[in-house]
Parts: sequence; C-alpha cells; structure tokens
Amino acid sequence: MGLRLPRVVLTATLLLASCGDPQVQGLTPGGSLSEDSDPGTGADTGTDPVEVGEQLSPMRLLFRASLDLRGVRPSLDEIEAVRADPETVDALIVGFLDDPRFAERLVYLYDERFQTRTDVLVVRYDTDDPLSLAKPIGEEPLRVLAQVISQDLAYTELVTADWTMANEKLGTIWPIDYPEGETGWQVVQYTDHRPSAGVLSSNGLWDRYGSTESNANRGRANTLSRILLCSDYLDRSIEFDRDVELLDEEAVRDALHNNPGCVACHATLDPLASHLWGFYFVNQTSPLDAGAYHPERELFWEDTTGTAPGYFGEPTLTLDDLGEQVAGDSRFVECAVSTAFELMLQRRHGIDDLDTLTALRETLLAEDLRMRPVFAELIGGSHYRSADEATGGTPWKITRPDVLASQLEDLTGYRFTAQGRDMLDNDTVGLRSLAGGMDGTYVTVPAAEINTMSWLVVERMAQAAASYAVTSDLANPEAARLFTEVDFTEHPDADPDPMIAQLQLLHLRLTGTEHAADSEVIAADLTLWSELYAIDEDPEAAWAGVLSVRLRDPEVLFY
Amino acid sequence: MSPLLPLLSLLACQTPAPAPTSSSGSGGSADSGEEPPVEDTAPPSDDLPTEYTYVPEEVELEPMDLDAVEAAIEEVAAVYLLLDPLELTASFQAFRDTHADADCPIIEDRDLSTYWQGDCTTADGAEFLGYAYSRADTDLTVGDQIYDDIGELAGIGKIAAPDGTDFEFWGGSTHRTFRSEGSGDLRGSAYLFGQMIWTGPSAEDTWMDDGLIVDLISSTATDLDLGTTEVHINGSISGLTGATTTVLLDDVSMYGPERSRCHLEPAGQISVRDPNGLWVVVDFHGPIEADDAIYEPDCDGCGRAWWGDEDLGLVCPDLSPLWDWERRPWD
Repeated sequence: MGLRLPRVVLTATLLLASCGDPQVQGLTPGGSLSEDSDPGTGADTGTDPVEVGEQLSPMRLLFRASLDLRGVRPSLDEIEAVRADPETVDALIVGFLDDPRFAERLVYLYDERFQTRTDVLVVRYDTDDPLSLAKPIGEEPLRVLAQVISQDLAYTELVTADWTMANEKLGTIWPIDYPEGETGWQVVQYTDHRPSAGVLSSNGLWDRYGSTESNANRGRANTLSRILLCSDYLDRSIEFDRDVELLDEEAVRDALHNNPGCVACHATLDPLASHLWGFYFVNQTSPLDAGAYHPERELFWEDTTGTAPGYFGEPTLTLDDLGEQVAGDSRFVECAVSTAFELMLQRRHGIDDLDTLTALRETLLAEDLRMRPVFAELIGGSHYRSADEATGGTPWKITRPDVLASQLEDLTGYRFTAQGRDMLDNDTVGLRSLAGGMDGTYVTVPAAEINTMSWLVVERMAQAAASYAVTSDLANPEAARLFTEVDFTEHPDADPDPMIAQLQLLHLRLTGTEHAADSEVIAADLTLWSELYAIDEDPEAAWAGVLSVRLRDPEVLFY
Repeated sequence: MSPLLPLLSLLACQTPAPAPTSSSGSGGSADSGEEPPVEDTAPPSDDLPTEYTYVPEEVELEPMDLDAVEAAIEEVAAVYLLLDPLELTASFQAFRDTHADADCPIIEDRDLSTYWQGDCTTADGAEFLGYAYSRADTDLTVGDQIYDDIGELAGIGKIAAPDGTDFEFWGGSTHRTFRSEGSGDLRGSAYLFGQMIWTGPSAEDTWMDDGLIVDLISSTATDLDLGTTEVHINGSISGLTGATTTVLLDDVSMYGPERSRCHLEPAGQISVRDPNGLWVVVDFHGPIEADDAIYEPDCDGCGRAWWGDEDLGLVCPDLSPLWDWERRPWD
C-alpha cells in the first residue's frame, strides 16, 4: 500500500510546525506535557509524568519493555492495570518474555551484531524474487539464536546445536529436511553431513560472510570472534612492519608466521579460520556450490595458510570442536550478557557497568545458561529502568524502524508496503536505512540520532497510518482499533464530549498519559481538529490529521 | 548530544528543553536531592565471580573400521573410472541443443567452442539460466596429432526442460586423449571440477545422476602396442553414498604390471572422511615414477591408515581397476 495522503493530513504537519503551538510543546519527550501529572501513573497531577526521581515511571517502564520485548505498545488493559496499581508493572513486563513476539524481536535486536539481514544475495538462486530469499537466508542464524533464547535452551546450543531453523523457502534451496507441505520457521537439520556447530554450521552466516582463497576465512574467523566472544581483531592496535614486501606471497606468508606485528593477531586468528574451509565456495554464485557444505575442502588449510585448526593454542580438528571450544570459553558467556545488556540499553558497556555484567553472568550460570532469566534481570535492573545517563541509564531509546513499523501496525493496522515489500524492512526498494536502520552491508550500525531522512519517514508513516486507521475504524466500528469513542459525526461546538473522550483515550493508548478533559493538551488537540476541519469540512480527515500528529509524538520516536 | 536535538531543530521552533539526561544537567534527580539508585544487581564486592565450566557431552569417538576404509577406497576407484568428462560435455551439449530454440538462449560459436548465455524461456517452455561454453570433438586429427577426444566445458547455470528433467551445473572440465601418428603411445589428461546434476531417464546410470562434487585432475598413459598403463590422480570426490561421503586423493599414481613390478601398490595418500568428520589418512609407498626402486615389501598393495596420531593398521584395497584397462580408463 502506498502513501496516498489527504491534503488535510499534510496540512497538519504545517500546523504542527507553527511555533508556539502547544502541540509542539507536547512533542518533547521528558518535557512538561502539562502542569499537572501524576509521577506514578502519568496522570495529570502536577509533576513530570514520565520519571520518578531518576527512574522511569512504572508507565514508561511498561511502554519501554513492551516495545523492546514485543515491538508494540502495551494494550489498554495493561495500561489500566499499571494505572490502578503501579506495582503490577514488574509482573507484566516479565510476562512479555513469554510472548511469542519476543522471539521475533530477538531476530531484529541481535541483527545489530550478526548483520546478516541484508538485501544482498550473492548466490544466483533460481527465483524471480531474490529479495524474498535474501531475508530468510540472513535470518537463519538469528532464528537459531531466537529459538535458543525463547525456548530456554542452554546458550551453548548456539554453537553446538545439530539443528537449524528454516522456512519453506529455504526448504526448497538447501539440503535440509524441511517437512513437506509445512510453512513458517521450523527446526530442521541439514542432510549433507556437515558438522554440528549451531550457527557456525549455518549457510546463512557464511553466505553473508564469504571468503576469498587469499583471505583464507580470516574475515569469517574475526566475525565469529566478534559476535560470539566480543573480541574484534580489528579493534586491536597493530604495529605494522613496513619492510614486509606485500606483493611477495611467500614473504607475506612468512611474516604471518614470524613477524611479531603480524603474529600478534594471526597466531590465533588463522587457526580459527582453518576450521571454516568446508564453507569455502569455489563459485559463490552457484546454488549448488554455495548451498552445500564441502567436506572435500576441509583440509584446504594445508595448501593455503599451512596453519592447522586450533583454538587459542588448543589443537582442534573439526568444526564441531570449534563449537565446543567456543561454548567452553569464558568469554562466550561474558559476551552473551554484555551483548544483551548493550542491545537492550542501546549503548556500549563501560567500566562502571562491570558489577552489573558480573551479576548478569552469575544469573546466566545459575540458570543453566538460559538467557531468558538474564533478560528478566536486565529489565528488572536499575540500568534499564534508569532515566539518567549519569547512573548508567538510557533516558530515551531510539525507536528502530522495525519497532516503528510493528507498533504502528498494532495501533492502526497499517503496514507500509510497496511492490509486495515491507518498506521498513529492506533497502532495495524500501527505506530501512533511511529510517535509521542498518542494511548489514554498507550501514552496519543503526542511526544514533534522529536525522532528516528518518524524521521524514516517521512523518509519512504517521500520516499514512493515521489515514488508514480512520478509514478502517470507520468502515468496521465493531473492530475499531483506536476510534472507539466517536463515529466521525461529532463537532467540538455541538458534541464535544465524545471527542474529548476520544482524545483522552488516544493519549492514554499512545503514551500512557492521562489528560483531564479541560487540560491544555486536550484543548490544543481540539483546536487542531477544528483548524483541520475548516479546510475541507471533512471530519475523517481532521481526525486523521490529529492522529498523525499524535503518532509523531517524540514518545513514538523515543521510548 | 541528546538524540532529541536534531529532531527539535527539524521542527525549527522554540520548544521547551527536554528533561535533563546527563550528569551535567539540572532538574529531575538534582532537584529531588536523592542519591543515584544503588546498583541492585551487583554481587557483594568480596565475592569472586563463579568460575565458568562447560562440560561438553561425552562422545566416545570410534575410529572408522578398516574394512570400511578399504571399501571406501575401492569405491572411489570405481567412481573415478565412471567420471568421464567426454560424457559430460556430450550429454550437456545434446541437452542444450534439444531444448534451445532460435531465440533462447543466445548461442554463439567462438573459436572452437560454442557459448551460450541466457535467462529466458523457449517457445516450448524450456528455461535457460546462466552461461556455458563447451566443445567436444572425437577422432580429430591436427597435424600429426590424433585425438581420440578433446573438449572442454565451463559455466554455471541450469537448463530446465518442459518435461521436468533438467541439467544444473557449475564448474567444468577439460579433457584430451591423443597420440602421434604412427605411435602407440596414447596419452590422456582430464580436469573435472564442480557439480553437474542431470535428471531424467537419460541420466540414469551416468555419474551425473549421482550429485557428486568433483575436483579431480588426472592423467593417463598407455602403450597400445605393449599394453602398459599408468594413471596419476589428484583431487577429491564428495557426495559418495557408500562407506564414506568424501575421499581425497593426493598425488596418487599407479602403474600396470607391464610398466612396474610394484603394480599392486599406489604411490600417494588417500584420505577417507569418517562419519565423525575426522579423516583416516592412508599412506601408500608405491612408485612415483614407473622405474622407481621400491623396497619389495612395500609393494604389497597395503597402506598404513592413520587417524590423527593413531596407527589403525594396514588396509589393502584392490586398486587394480586403476591400471587394468586397455584404452581409456573411462571406457
């Protein structure tokens, strides 16, 4: 569905931007929405509605956790529950970890580390729609991780499992036992006798991270070290010997084994890389070659680097051994908790976080290496709940494109698609990177700030979603998602009460904030509605305009 | 910088400042006079972190049975004799010519080879995707050289026929078998790499029906008058379905009894991948050159099998098919 916007909705943007408009004041997260709000519930009683001291208010915590763990805003019932008893928030948000949407969120969340959800499909599969194949291929390792975490499996399964995840599309292109006639993501096994090493044995990971013969899988080795051990060789300082003749292959090979500047990394990197020759593809574009594991190439290291497989000084033989070695590495569990911490807080950990990370590590060990208790502890901890950078919190998290799309769909039923594509989930025809996301190839970290393009995407998304919500709620009032208090015939002069109730409900649903009927914010909304109505005397367009403004609230962009 | 600032500047309005979020700000926590919350997940400082120990699942790996190693080596010798690049090129070209039409794919003759490329469907519904160039000649005389066969194939792609059969491939081959006019010294060479999967009734009983992944370079020589034979093989065959999936052949050479007294024993190394993904490496000590002097006990046809550092004993495969042929090993 494209972006076809009524003139009134576009006008709302202009009205919104008019300086001094109280709507603009309402668009500042953390700012004063009114003079009177309740610190515990966000109700209008006089202080900042979103913070209690330096901690998030229970309501904001509810919204943050719901968006993080489910990709949607909390339901009205959940909001009402926290309004009635703020202490219920703890049980509610821990319950989000049992929500089926949690696994889906993990796929997107951890892609910030795996970077496999790319549009790039090097292999020429027999398909008219390469993009629709690139997505599940890139998601394979992420789905394994999501399965491990959401199903309470030991985290070591990530690198030792003899199974993988696949959907029906992968079932047609890879040597796996995907059940015939089934659809969706399923636990399957490869049938080409490849080693059992979890994501280390997955096509999806090594399709994304290929290797040339001269690179000899070193880039891949660093990838596994970066993702699984949080140790990126590229972060190391290098004292490079300028006397090495780089055009002389023998000289380079000798330097890799004997030159101190080279050995510092290659002494451990190259033995890791030597495990991965079974995924070396002679012809990376061939589905036959790149879709299969190649045992006949496992020993290519003998004729290339000459470095036998090994794990930081420990001799190993197979990829299974590598998985076991990673699983047994203390850095693996430390990396597991620091990664979860950083992804959930949207920031790197620092020295001040070590006590927290140690505690999370203790939890992981005490809970049989299950990660869900770690997530539970994370969202129950002071860092996650802090609204203050000075105490290790993330005052406002940026809404990533996937969360923007999923919450708007949940709120309004609208999903931005074009040419059959989810426009916030690809870059070939979509807007993922422009919306502040990453493409995994050229943009490998999400935007740290809202920028011109991401703001424009949000604006258009809000306008389209608002129009969609009005149209669909009007057409099907029994199943209305947002407009439950009006039937689009009301006017502020004649029948203001249902409109006020509707506006109050919108605020509550979108931000958990309760505004009094005679509050400044509600009055401003009604004024905006009237100004929009005056353009075409179209109440539906006026409501769409008001909703589009509310959907651009900074508390939608940040949470 | 606060992430809000760019947004606010976009709005280009004077808006109230966001709530202070850094330690340098005022309001919020500072106004409250409260201390920052104590980290509630930190362990007592005098406790050392629990040591991480991972106990892998105990798996007792058994070495591959020597009979299975022997069977695998004999199987790969038999498969090698089936791997005829001439058959590949001829079959491929016939399949191409049967299903191509004037518009699909684009076909050109370049030098001695025929080249095609396409991503198209013929009027009859055959689909061509990819490209290939190929050549296959038999009984060709060039100067005083007589070629029993000469050809090549290289490409990647798929031809899908309307009847549901198809030919999917990547890789290629080069091959030639030739002698000088008036000489009985017939020499051959073949390089075969990649994977060629041909489906349908015509493919039955050919090696292209088996899904093998091949990377082999080999040479042969025979004196038609004296009946001598020799073969040299380097490379790998994967996708086997017998005692193993994969065998590597490193500098394997064999000579027939008319060429060497050590005809039972190959030179080189043959590695067999066991079900655990480990390799059983068998060392043979036959002659590298036909007239190499070999200690006679080493000519017994048996090689020592190694599993890592473990000596598994001797395996004695019957590799006579590698030299017991008359004209071409793949006839």
